[in-house]
Amino acid sequence: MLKITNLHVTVADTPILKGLTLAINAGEVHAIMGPNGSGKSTLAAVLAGRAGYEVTAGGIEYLGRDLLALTVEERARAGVFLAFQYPVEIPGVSNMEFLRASLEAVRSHRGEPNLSAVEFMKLARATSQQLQLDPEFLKRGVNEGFSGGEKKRNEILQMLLLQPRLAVLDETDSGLDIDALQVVADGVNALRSPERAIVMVTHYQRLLDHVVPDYVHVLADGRILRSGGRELALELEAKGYGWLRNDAA
Amino acid sequence: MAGFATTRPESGVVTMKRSERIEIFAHTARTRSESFPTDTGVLGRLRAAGRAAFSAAELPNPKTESWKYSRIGPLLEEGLLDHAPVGAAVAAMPIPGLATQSMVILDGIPQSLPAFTPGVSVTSFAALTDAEAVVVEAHLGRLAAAPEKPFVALNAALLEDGLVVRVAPGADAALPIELLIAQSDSSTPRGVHPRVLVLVGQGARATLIERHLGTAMAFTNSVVEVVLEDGAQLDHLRLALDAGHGRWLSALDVELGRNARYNLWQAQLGAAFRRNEIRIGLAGEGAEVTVSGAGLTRNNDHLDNQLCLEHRVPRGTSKQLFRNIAGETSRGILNGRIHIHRGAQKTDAQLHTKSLLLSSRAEIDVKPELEIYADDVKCAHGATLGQLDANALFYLRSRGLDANAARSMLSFAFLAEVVDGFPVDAVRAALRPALAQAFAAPAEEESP
Repeated sequence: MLKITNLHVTVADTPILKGLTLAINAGEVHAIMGPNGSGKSTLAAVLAGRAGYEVTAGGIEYLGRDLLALTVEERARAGVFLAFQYPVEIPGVSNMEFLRASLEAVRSHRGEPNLSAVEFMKLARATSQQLQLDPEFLKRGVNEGFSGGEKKRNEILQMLLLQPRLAVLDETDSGLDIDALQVVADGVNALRSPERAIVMVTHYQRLLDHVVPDYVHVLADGRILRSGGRELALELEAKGYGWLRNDAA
Repeated sequence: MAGFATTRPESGVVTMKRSERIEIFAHTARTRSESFPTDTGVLGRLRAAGRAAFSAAELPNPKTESWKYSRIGPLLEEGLLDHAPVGAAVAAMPIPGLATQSMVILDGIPQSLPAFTPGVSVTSFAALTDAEAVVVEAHLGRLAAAPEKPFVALNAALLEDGLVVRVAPGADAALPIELLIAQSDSSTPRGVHPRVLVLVGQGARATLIERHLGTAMAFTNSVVEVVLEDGAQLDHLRLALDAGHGRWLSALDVELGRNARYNLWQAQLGAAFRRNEIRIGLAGEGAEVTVSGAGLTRNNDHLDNQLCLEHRVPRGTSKQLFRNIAGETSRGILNGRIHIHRGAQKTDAQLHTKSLLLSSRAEIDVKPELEIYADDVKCAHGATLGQLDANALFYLRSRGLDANAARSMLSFAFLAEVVDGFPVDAVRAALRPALAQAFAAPAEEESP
């Protein structure tokens, strides 16, 4: 589904990713771990198409297409979803209005009919409840005055509504208490299916207790330093990132 | 009449200097005013006063401070002082779900009036009895008379007829009063001079919805005067949602008595020329004023709001909130003057404005002007100017919205703080699609 080959990315002329290669198949859940500054969030940003990230070499193929040739919204419509590490507050746009416009954009691209206002309300309310978000949040400004945990749950709400093919979760576990973590993890697990891939970018392995990955990759200094199964995350937790660096050296 | 050169220099025709065009405009206006009878009645006396004031007044020149950012050129083009026969009325798009009692001024001429609810009366100047004339003339022209307002004088000098709206003391006019200042379907350039006086009696309450309608190249030079007696309250909504070729110059003069309340809401699109000269005088202690304005200009449109709050007496409050957006090569102007007179202690005056530029070639000029002659007052102002937040744009696009839809949504959100405060539900509901449409309209091709 996703083939990243020898990806080099610079931000403001500073090289961040330096030859990252990674293949992700439909149905798989991958965790990308690594110390701060290793390039995890850069990878997430490049996948979603954020401005300011320059790809200087290598490429990304998504469902057989050149992902980098697509605009931000084309990627979203083609099924790429980024759950933001820092979801943006947009006062004046209601969450409901935002979710509906977004769902309409994605559905119409897929050739699916628009939901009626009533159908949409039902779906949005049911999904909110699944995430233990008060449906009142739908009426508020997008992320406006939401707590950190509420913002993250709102990201998962969007993900569940949009039903992406490739979900990239950027530090979705940060700032969550243990109950919220369970709710978010349940949401992510609900999305697991043979047609989808999920990439979790995380600093800690605690989310991985709840969403068990098929593969774990350690990113350091802009490259995949090591790949393995679930046990690699546990080993990292026990030994720290220093262990791998020394090992590699 | 001498012709005006409106052709561009590259066509080979020598363009007339602006000072010459102004002179011709003034001369034409004076000549035209002489054809209006000034011998009898309210109308005659108002025209005579207007004619004298216009002759004495000086039209704005490039050095006139209050016209610094407003180009007078669009008002000087050929035919804008002519009076064309009234064409057919264009059906005003009713606001869905809004029940009102309406008066219509079509091409400057008041149309026949419907019956109004008890406590509300509307009369044309020409139909006033002598007794009524005495009451009306105590106010008419008093507020709008100012040497620095030559166009207000011109309105009086070229007045066909006007309307006086009276809300009886103590009356609570629950049904909003709608004032439609509309262009007919005629495409002939013309100048029209609508005039309305609104008298809200002691302790009375009313809602006035003033709509400016039309896109044709006509000069609409309106004057609305509002007098709120002690304890009166008026919610005044002004909607100007037709962009286009219209030249709209609107004077609004308001005076508040003791403990009176005046709330003004404006939602406006730019036009070839649109300028509001708003003066609100707090003449009785404890008067309260709020002004909320949402403005959007696109293409090469122009929107100028000149406000002057006159705090004449103690314990008055005024709160002003503006949101302006300018796209393409358009221009938005906001001049907010707060004048706190000697002795107007315990005044609380605030002016807050935020502006958004959608294009590097758009321009917004914001100027707060505070003039304070009392030492125990609160007076605050704040102005910010910015662009759409790149993070928010990315966030919306990452959820599948195309760049234009994302920009519209964010721009609308910027205006929402003002628009969501509009007091009439049906108007608020109608503003959303109207503004969304204005955002969504593609930019006009720029002329080379």
